[in-house]
Amino acid sequence: MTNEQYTLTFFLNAAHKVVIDGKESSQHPHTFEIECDIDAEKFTEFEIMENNINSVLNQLNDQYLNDLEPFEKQIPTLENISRFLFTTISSNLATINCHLLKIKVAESPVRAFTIKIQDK
Amino acid sequence: MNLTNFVTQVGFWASWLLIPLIFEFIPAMYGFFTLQLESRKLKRNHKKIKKLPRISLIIPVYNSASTLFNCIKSVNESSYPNKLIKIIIANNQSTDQSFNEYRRARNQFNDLLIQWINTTKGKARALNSAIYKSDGKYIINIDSDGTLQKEALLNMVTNFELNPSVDAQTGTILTQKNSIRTTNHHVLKFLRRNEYLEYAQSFLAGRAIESAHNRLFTMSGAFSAFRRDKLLQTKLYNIETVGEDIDMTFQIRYYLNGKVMLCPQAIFSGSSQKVVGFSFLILYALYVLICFLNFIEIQYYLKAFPSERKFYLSQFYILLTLPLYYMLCSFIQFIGIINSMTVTATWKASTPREEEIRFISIIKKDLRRPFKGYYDK
Repeated sequence: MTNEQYTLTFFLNAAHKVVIDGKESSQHPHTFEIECDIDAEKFTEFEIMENNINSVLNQLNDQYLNDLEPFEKQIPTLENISRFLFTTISSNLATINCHLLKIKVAESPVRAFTIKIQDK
Repeated sequence: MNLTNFVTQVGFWASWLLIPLIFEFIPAMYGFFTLQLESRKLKRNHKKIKKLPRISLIIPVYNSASTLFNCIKSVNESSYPNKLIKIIIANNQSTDQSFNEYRRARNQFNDLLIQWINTTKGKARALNSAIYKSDGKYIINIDSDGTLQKEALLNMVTNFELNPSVDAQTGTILTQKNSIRTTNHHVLKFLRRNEYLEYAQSFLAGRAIESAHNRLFTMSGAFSAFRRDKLLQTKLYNIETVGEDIDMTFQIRYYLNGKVMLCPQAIFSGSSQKVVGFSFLILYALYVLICFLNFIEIQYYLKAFPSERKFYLSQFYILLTLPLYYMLCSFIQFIGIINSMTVTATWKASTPREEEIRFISIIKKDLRRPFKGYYDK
């Protein structure tokens, strides 16, 4: 059995401040790399999927994440950013009949967090 | 005869000779001899590497249609084997024909691996995004508006391979010889010749001395190279500053305790700073305009004195050089100010030794300041 999917890569520039065990870091910027594995119900042009995902990412681009509404109650750690993006991109992609299978958010080429749908 | 006596005897006029002597001439002499030694080492080190590694070459692009093709062409013509180079063109929101130029290069140099990625606007953002796509042992970035000298990549990689302690290198940037030769305008040609020498001095004398003592202040954003493993330990380029190359140099030197060097044998020919020259002309024109406005105003006052006014108006062409005259005057005044400062200094009650202690403590405090906090994390 074969399995087909699209993989798209995006870059997100944003700053954040994290608190780990009560220790607060200083505010610092990242260029995040975001990789999305997508299952499309029917043939979908790259541009349509890209625009769909960019409309989510643009809300975060060049922002100080701690100030944004989704991160009022939770600290924008790499893990929480990934969770937020997974939920938001998933529901946004559903409007064009596409499904997010996996998201990988990296804050550097050697540090990433991945969320994926469990195999059925 | 101690130094204090000497200064007192020669008098305050010597003080303005003493300052350039201490801050310019002595370091220059010291640098001259250091570099003599360094350049000898250079010849001895020239060995060949048997097995060359794969490298990633990042070229950030923003509206570079006029220069991009020649830039890639210089990589194709370089002595580094094409099959070991991966070029990543990081386009940050160009609105011109850059993409077509990239396609033209791809079609023509078909054994060169070239990848195009789109990023958000800004050089640091483009570089960071491209670093994710870089898998070579060394990551090198060059500007899209210049060309690499044939041996530049090979010499840089050789230097890395022979010196395992070196984590990053900056290339040597010179302006293009051809653009100087083909300049017809005499003044512009003269300025460009000066610019060429300025670049040569700043890299092959200034940075070379800094490099010899591992004190390089900034790698050039136009041509820098990194060991990939070291670069990935940094916080990547800082996207919140315009001095991302200085920030990167500091990250490697202070945050990672690494070593940054100049590679004198890796030459990149950058484009001339037309913008700086042009803005200087505009600035000068503005000063002339101010003089012109004053000129108009003044002649109203002179209406009561016809012969004076007539002479005054006949001198109108001097307006063009008046700003230069002001510059000359302010230079002379500046020297005067330095002299008068030394005169008041002799009135002060503190001894030269006290002044010296205070001076050193202030300098020490100032030097520590920039590194406090940011790199303490």
